[in-house]
Order: sequence, then structure tokens, then C-alpha cells
Amino acid sequence: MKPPNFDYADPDTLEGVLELLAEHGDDAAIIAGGQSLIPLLNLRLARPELLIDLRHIVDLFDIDIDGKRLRAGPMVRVVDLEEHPSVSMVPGLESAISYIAHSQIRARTTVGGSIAHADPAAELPALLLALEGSVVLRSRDRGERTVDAADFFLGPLWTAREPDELLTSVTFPSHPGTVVIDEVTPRPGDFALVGTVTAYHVPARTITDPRIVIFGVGGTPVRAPQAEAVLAGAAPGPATFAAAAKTVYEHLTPLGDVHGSAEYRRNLAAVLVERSLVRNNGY
Amino acid sequence: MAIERTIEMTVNGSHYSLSCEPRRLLSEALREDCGLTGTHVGCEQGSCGACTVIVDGRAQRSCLMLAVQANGSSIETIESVAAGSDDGHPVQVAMHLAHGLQCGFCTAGIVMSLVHAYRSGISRQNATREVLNGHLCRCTGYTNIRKAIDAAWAELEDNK
Repeated sequence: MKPPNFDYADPDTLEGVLELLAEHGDDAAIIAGGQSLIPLLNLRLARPELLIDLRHIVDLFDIDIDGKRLRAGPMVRVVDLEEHPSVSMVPGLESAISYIAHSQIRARTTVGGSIAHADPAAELPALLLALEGSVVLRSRDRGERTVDAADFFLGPLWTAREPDELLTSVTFPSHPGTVVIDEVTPRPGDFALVGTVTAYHVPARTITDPRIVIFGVGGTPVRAPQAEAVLAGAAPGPATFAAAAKTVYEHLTPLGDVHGSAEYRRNLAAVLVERSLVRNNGY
Repeated sequence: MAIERTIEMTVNGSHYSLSCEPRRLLSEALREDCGLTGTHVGCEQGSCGACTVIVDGRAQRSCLMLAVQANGSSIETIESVAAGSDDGHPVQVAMHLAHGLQCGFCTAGIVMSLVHAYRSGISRQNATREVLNGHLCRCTGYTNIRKAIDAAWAELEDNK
């Protein structure tokens, strides 16, 4: 199908974007890479009155990466991170990117777009949650605020962003250990039926900084605090990993759909968590 | 009706100045305003890859881009691929010899992705797995497309 009718603005400045958002709010949609929004327009599932294009705002294309974190402007294209010489400085990022759609989509899709769109089966929101990252939101009238990933994702395609706010940067902190992403999809490049992000660190015999996030199982990516508690302070090994996976199974309440029942997803999440923890341990 | 915008873009080396509604997709602008109907439109939701063209040096979906977003861009479509060669681009020759197409609907998009991959020095394995992964073909079962990739990349590797 073809997109519905809308007006289009491509301001030259951030202030221009914030002005339009303050004026139009929910009637406006922001377009970054458009790889999720344009399908929604083509299917007429989205019908904004105004499309605000960020393509001219050079400040929004910045990549700032060091050993501690990646801070990306919302217009950073996934391919730019994929090809960035320092992408491996943030563990898990390369792996997450490798699961995102196809190269033809990654050439255009953006980091900010993926986070702001908040698809519950998308990889970058899950990684942001696992790494305890944050976003910066800015509006004309209230200025800037920083929101933790844990408070940002509220439901499917629903975030804490107010209608007059623009997501102006995303920060993925590093992790002292290794981060493993795994997912099961009907075909490579599809959205995950279930995906997992697991991470932990073993500075001296026992586990610190455990993180377990499961995505594709509900409205948002979810952390598994009970399973993380099983890992924390324990010695890494098959018994610990099996116990953590069992805890994931016991506490997860996924939604089922035509692609997989709730019980199937619950079981799959436990399998993926155990498999990732084993891989993470260097076996 | 929204106000039409003037778009300046270069397509296959020729300059085009178009007046488009903001909702016009790049795929439509190429086919209907530029008259370049070699770019095919399949699903219009980014899944099938038939509409893939090269925008500013990268293979992308022309159905997932508005024409207004291509203002100032340089675009290559299937019509340009054989330019400057008697036989066609090595990818086209290989697709022909390996019988890498049947109905041909998906072919223009696949060729554009492979031309970009060939030019970028992407490995044969990534061309087969990663690049071809972004395309749907309902006829060939992909076997002969993979043979075409093997043939084109074998030549590329020999020439190194």
C-alpha cells in the first residue's frame, strides 16, 4: 500500500524540531531512518499529520565511544556502528547488531529510531536495558532530562518520551565481563520469537555484575532479577547456570501468539539463557 | 493534499528535478516520475528486497525511503549496472550463465545488492549468507543464485 497523506518538515536546527514538537505533539511523528516507521505508514497503521525529518541536524549523527561507554546520537545509522573501529569496546554491541534485520536495512536504520520505536522484540532496546543504559530527552519547554532504560520502555512501541520530547542521545555503558546475545527467529533477520542478553564478570572465582534480559516475550524487554540473584556471588559452572535458567523459567510470564505459545516461549527463554551462560563462560 | 516539494537528485548519472508529495516513496518516484521501471516493487514493507537500489553508495530499500529524503542524493538503479561494458556487469553475467533467475521479478533488487557487495569487497560467504538473506525469491530456491555468486566472486578473487 501507499502512505497516507501527511505534511513534511526537515528543520535545519534542533530548536526547529523542538518547536514543531511543542506545537504538534502526538500529531507529529519523527522520522530518523524510517525502517520501522515507513512500513507502518505504508500499511497505514500510522497516520501522522506531520512528519519531522532529522536528516539535516548534524549534531544528531555523533558517535562518541571509549572504554567506558558508547554515546550515540539518534541519527547514527546501525551500519556506522557496525563499521566503527571501536565497536568492540562496548561488549555485546557487535553481536546485537549482527542480529538486526539485513544489511540493506542496517544501511539506513538508526540507533535512536530503534530505541524510540521500542519494538519489544528488537535487540538494541534489550541490550540498553541489560547494560543499564540511558537516554536523553529534550523538549522546548522543559529542557533536558535523562531517563534510565529501566524506566524508559513502558510497553510495545510505548516509551516514557512525552509527545513534545525528542530523544537526543542514547548511552550504552560498557560491562566488565562478556555479553552474549542469542535469539531464535523463524528466518535469519526476522524479529526474535525469544531473545536473551546475558552478561557476567568473574574477577576472582565468583560471579559479579550478572545481567539477564529476555526480549520478544511481552510488551518490553524484561530483566530477570531472581535469576541474576542466583548468579551473583556463585561460582560459574553448569550447576549455577542450570539453576539460573530454571529460575528464569519459574518467573517468566511471556505472552503467546500465533508464532509461539506462552509455554514454548517460556521454555525457549530458559534454554537460551542456559546456553548463553555456558557460552559466556568460554566453554 | 500536502504541499508538493521539489526534489533534486542524480539517478544513474543524470540529474532529475521532480515535484513530489511528501508521501511519495522513492520506489514510486523512480518508476513513475523518472520512468525507470527496472526497479520492481514487491511487498512495500521492507521484507522482499525487490526494490533495492544503491543510494549514496549503499544498497537500500527504495520502498522504505521517501522521495523527499532522497533530495540531494545520488542513486543507482538496475538500468545503470551494465553501463560501460559490452557484456554487462560481472554479477549480471554470472546470474545469466548460472541461470540465477526464473520469473525475474526479484532479480533487479538482488543484482543491486550484489553489485554493492562486489564493489565493497564483501566476502563470498557474506554475499551468500548476509546480502542474499535480505531478498526473497519464490522461483529459484536460491541454488542458482548462490552458484552465480560463487562464479562472480571466483573471478573477483582471481583478479586480486
